[in-house]
Amino acid sequence: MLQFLLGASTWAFRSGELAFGRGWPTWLLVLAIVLGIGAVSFTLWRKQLGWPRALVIGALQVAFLALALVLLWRPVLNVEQVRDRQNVVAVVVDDSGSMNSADAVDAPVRRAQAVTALEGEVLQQIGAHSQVRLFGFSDRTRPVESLEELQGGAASTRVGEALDTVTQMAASVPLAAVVLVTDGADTADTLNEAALSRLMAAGVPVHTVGVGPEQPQNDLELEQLQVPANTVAGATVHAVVSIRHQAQKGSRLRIYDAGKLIAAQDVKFAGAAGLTTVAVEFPAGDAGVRDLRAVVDTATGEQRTANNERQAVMEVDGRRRAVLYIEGEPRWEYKFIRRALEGNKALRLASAVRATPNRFYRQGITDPTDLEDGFPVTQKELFGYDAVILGSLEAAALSTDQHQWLKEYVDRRGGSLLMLAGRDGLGDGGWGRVTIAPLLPSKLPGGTRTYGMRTSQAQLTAYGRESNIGKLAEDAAGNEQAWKDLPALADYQDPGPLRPGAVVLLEAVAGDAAAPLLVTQRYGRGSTWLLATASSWRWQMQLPKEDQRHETFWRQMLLTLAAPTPSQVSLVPERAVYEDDAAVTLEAEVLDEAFNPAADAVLTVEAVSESGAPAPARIEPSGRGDGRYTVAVDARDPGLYRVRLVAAAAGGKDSEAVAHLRRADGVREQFGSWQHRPMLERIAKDTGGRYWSLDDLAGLPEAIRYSSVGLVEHRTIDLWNAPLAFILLALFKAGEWLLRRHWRRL
Amino acid sequence: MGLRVMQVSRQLGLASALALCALLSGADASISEMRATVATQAPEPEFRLARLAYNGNNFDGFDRFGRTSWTTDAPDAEYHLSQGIRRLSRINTIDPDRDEVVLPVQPLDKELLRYPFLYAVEVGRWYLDDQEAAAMREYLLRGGFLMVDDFHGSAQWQGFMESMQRIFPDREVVEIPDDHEVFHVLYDLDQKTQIPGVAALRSGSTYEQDGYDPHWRGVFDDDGRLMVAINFNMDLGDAWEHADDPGYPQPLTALAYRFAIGYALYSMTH
Repeated sequence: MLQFLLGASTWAFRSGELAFGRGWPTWLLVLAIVLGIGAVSFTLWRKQLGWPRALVIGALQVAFLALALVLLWRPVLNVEQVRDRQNVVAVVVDDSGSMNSADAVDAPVRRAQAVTALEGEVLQQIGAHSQVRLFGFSDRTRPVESLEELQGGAASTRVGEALDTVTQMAASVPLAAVVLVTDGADTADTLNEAALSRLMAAGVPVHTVGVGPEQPQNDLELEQLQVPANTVAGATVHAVVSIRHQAQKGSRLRIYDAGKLIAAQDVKFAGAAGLTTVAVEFPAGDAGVRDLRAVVDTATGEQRTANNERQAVMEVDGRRRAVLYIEGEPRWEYKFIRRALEGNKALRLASAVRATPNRFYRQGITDPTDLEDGFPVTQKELFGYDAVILGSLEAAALSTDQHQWLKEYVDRRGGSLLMLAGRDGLGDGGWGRVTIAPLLPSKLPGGTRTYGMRTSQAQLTAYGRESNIGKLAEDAAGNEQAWKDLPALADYQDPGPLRPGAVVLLEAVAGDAAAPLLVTQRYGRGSTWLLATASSWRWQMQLPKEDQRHETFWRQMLLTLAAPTPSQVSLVPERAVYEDDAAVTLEAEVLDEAFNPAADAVLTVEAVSESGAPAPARIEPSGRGDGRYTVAVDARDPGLYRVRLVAAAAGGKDSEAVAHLRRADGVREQFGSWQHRPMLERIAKDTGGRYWSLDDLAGLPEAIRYSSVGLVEHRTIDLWNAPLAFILLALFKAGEWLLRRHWRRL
Repeated sequence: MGLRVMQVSRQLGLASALALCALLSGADASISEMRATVATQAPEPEFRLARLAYNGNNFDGFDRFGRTSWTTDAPDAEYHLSQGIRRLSRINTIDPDRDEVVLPVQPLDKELLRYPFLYAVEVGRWYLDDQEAAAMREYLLRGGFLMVDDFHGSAQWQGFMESMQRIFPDREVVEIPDDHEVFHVLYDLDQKTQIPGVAALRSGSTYEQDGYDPHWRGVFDDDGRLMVAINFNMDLGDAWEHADDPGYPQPLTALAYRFAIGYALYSMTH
């Protein structure tokens, strides 16, 4: 109807340009209209109709005159239009697993809905002017003769790859447009910014047709299960779980390790619909692999339940972390730190305390010669520890070499260094003027007395609340209270101004004053830490003997320091779970005993699936001589894989690293399977196409017809004879006549 | 209108900057205040020999609320011992010429928890009621260390044990083996010489009453750590007290210092 009234289709108006076909100058038209306005005004002024009536009658007369003049100038529409039967239109239909799902009871699956909508008049009308080529896509893109060939069920949706493949046709055939029919869930991450840039560069308009609901209906989706890739035996694991929900009030979350329940907690959902993230704690257990599965209970009436669970794999390292603690004088802090770690399976504390100016008392050593002089006598010995604590020990107690080793211990070895307050600690011990000073998270003041008595309360900062170190109770409110109730600290040492990259985890609060108490920063591959007190032992003495807060704090503190320290040989999968992707990649690093790249190491790698069948694996060096390698495993069968890397150094003993990962199929299509309309709209907007909903495709054939890509022809459409123009002329005159009659001033 | 908007924007920007400066200077002031306090309050000595101020058990005329056996040897014992500890070890303790020498603490005093090393003398005459015994038990199990000294013979042992069993009814008092770490932390104290009181020494013997043989006994916690060091039939306190007495044998004073330093180091490392 609109096309009849306008004399051309709305898509012609959208893509075309208006012009005048008579060839007369436009200024003459404007002048004629102005003169007409003058003449009408003069005539009405002489008839003395009164201002309101003269204004209405005048407007109608001017509109009539102006429209008539415009028609005399012969308005036309210049458009580009695809040449009939000479262009190709690619219709690309999602054939993945998510298109096989029904969004309501007894409703057809999404793929069937799409086929029905297209096979009506839409494809026929497109085919009337262009050649239609049909494609199905999922994990690959393939041409099909008919939409009936689409079966659905493929493991992933590669939207970006499909568009790449189809738009490459433009190099060989006149491709006028692409019609992409999908729910928009690109599960293989092929639709990224680079893919969109390539799509824009191809210059082919992509019309996107959205399938499925834009919001999931009554569905719970366990969107994320995040656990550390590695932890140490006996540690507490803090997992992060994100659940996407609608109107449900809450659910129960369970975490299993190889089918055995290890954690459960009720989750309350915030708001009507959205994403709720919760932290779940569970013990890491003994050394080995944790094959984790998090499951959220099915909501009442929920249809899609496959997305209620996620898997993860975590390595629990049985290697007991070694912590070296050098104390310059007998102190209660030393005693109570030792007691806090006594019997700990994850941590071994080797310590030396200077009992007299010439003698160190040593504990926790493995060899009678260890720490005889109060500090490791070789770099190799120092590098054997995962974390180092320096107490009230003046910097001058170490040799120049030992200072250099400490620097390299943090920078190159990747160790953690914790410095404690004390009368010979931090700035008062001269540590602000030695080699490791630039590594520390603050610029230690020098030459002044910075350590003294000061009653203060330890208080978590925002970073401290997020850190494992700060967790003294399971829930957030309980944790705040646990810190608030701690006995006061008695001393404080000024760490000086913090460096830009420093992170404060604890503050010492006294009245309105607050100062950094526990500060850390990354340096090189390791990290440095400052604790500006030596009176945390008072927590132990001033709390009931059953209270474990002092022990917990120090265990978590030293585990946080020691756990990430890398081994000589490391092997880490890029992802712990490979969903619908058999190309598994792991990153390996092989270092010698001095933690330099092991240039002469001979490497062998083996991968074994859950069933015990070997999987093809190969190893590629980075080519930069940095001891880094990429291990590629062809993991075709789903299940848990064990990958073992052995490094045989010339003249040295073999070192090895083991990593586990899980391969799973049919997972990706179960998640995020609602229609991703914003992405579809962006594709259409960036390429010059348009987003269409499945139930409103009537305009699609015409929109494609006025594409300016492919083989096009220029057309001039006359508008002077459009019925709307004559109807308007008649209405203007009829309106004037009726008003004059009404006012009895004919 | 545009000019007005610009003026308001500038005013808001200035106000924001001033507020930020005030906030930052407030934070700086907060840190500066902490630093200033620290700079004016020197650290306390790490190690204090706290002296247990107990009530008497009416043994040998020392009644519960009258004469005070817990003050025996004070303050000279602390004076000399603290000098010995300072001279012979890295333990940061009081300077007896500058600091208060005697630090008495009662079993129910919360101040006790600030001093993890506790010395009790003449414990054959001590009396701890149930409440005090419970407080001592809690102190020791949290990590405190008790060294008792200067009591002799079976009668005083009985007086000591009466309250000791109230502290730990379910723990045994045992002989500390010679190879125990407490005797080897710094010195190898293999030579178990009886350290006599000065009165016994002047009478020509090394023992008092029927306490002929010295005993180094102890009470251990569940992890095998020594909590209570019991110097029975000995008087280390006199050896410290009379360190400046030419009549008291110097080797015995030196040995008494070594035992004390050994206990102190053990308590600060275990």
